[in-house]
Amino acid sequence: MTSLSATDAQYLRLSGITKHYGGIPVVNDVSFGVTRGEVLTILGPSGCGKTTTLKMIAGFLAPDQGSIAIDDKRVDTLSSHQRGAAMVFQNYALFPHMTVRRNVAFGLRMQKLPAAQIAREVDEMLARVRLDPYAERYPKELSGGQQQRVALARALIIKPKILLLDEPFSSLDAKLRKQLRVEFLEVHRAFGITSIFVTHDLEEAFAISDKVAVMNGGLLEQIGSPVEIFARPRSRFVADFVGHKNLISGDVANGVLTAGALSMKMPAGTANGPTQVTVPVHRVRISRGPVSGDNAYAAAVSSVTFLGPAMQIGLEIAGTAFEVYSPSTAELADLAIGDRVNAAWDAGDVTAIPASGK
Amino acid sequence: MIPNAERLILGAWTALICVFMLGPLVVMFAISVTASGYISLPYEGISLRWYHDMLRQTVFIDAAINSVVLALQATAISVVLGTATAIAVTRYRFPGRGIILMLAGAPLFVPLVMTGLAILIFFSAIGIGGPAERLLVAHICLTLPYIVRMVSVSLAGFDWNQEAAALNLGASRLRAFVEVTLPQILPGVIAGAAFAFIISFDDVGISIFLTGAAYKTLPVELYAFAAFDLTPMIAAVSVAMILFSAAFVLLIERLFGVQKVLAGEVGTKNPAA
Repeated sequence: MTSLSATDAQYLRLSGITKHYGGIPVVNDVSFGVTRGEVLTILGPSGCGKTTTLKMIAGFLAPDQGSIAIDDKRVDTLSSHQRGAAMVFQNYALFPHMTVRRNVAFGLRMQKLPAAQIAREVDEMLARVRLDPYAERYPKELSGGQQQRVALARALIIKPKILLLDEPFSSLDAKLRKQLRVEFLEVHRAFGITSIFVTHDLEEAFAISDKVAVMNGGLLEQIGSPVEIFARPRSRFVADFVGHKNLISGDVANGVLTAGALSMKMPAGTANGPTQVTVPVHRVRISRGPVSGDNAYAAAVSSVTFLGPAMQIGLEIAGTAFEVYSPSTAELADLAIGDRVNAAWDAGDVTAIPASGK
Repeated sequence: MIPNAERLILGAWTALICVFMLGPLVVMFAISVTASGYISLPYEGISLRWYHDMLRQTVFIDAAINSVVLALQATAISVVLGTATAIAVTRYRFPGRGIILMLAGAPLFVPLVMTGLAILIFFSAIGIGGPAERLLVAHICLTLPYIVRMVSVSLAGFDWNQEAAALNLGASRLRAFVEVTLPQILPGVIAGAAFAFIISFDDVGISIFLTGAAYKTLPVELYAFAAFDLTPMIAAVSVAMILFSAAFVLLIERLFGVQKVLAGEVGTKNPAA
């Protein structure tokens, strides 16, 4: 992307958004910005406040505190359709009594545009999302992928600034989800529209997003690229949620963490004192032969699970249990419980989790 | 049980139902075309004299007009109130929802005579409204449960996100209801309205307490007439009422397909779910 203006970098801006239900904060002081053209996913377990946040952006709920701005214009006092934020609903919420054409035309009809213009724009949109052969069909006569394209077309035809998607794949089976994910990304690329996606599915969030915002208990835990979120979780919750298994508490002195019999070099500049760290499951290299790394150990294999392209291996290193994911190499093919291997990782892969993050 | 015996019993059962449900109607029709001057089957010949007689009885004509007007008014008001009630109780969970559901269904469970008497006492106590107004209120109470029930059934499984989608795309609340929700619940609304109309048009139980000397509904007039003057004309009026109701149901069926509604093919479940 070329140089972004200040507005583009904060195309959608949530500032101190708070929402209470019956005195309990469901969304608590959430602030973040979304860059123009990117896909941001709000990720979290059910009840974390992600759908409530999306509904506040869409204008179906009013925040108790805070403000929402789209393209430098405050929108939280506007009604839903004045915000330039079009929504794709869970299960799509297509109008079952209308044909594909009438579903897609709905937003333009509400704007009271001339019939000829509506027909022309609908035709163009249907062609762009490859739905032109299905224009006269009803939603229930379409496949899941076609229904999704109708939902996207119905939202995109009003030329929104932002597209909001509320767990659109949640009720579908894994294979269809992946296919629809690809289709969504195709549409996103074709229209280049800033999109906010809500899901509880980690893999989905990582697969489609430029940026991921992890929420828990109404709080924004962390926002960053999928790689950052996965490799550098900044709270215990995020570490757990993205699948970190090796969370170790110890004391840091002079750049070395000591936890019982285990000691490990930390990234340069790590402060002394009690610290919790995570060793990402995918950064541990193991081999029957020697392996190099800032932190190298002899390890005993305590479990082996073959997952196809990868293996999930339990290790015991200096009295501490580890879990690592390793590619299914030929060398490790006959790995068995009780085998002795070497394991290593670099100091830079160890991530300290701030104490504030529970 | 062997299939043959099963079939035999089912056949006998069906025959019994036909005889006892439809038999009286056949007898009624036969009596209405008798040439005799008293209630009997037409042994002495067939005649339309009692239908002639009926049309000359202005009390019946007036009462029939009263009944139709009352049924239309009660149905129209019930459709609006009942549809709104059904939407509220189906869509939202709120304090008092149980009470509203109970009140909306109460006229189905409370004996009509008690409802009629209660409304009479209530109106007498507050001293407003003539027979027409009292009857209208009573008939709204009487018909409301049918609308609430039928519309609730067609709302089962309705995806309210459709309305949110319409609002998000620029529709007003009214527009969203008219364009998105109403077309999908229309079969239920019409079936409920048809029920309401027939129930109101045929009612004696409540109405008998609330009609006045100058304002009677057709069933009440018929009831009063039969009490002291038993001629075959009663049968003629009854047949006319039955034909009217049947024609009404047939019309609704032709226009909207009530059979489909009653068979449960109502509401449009979210296709993506």
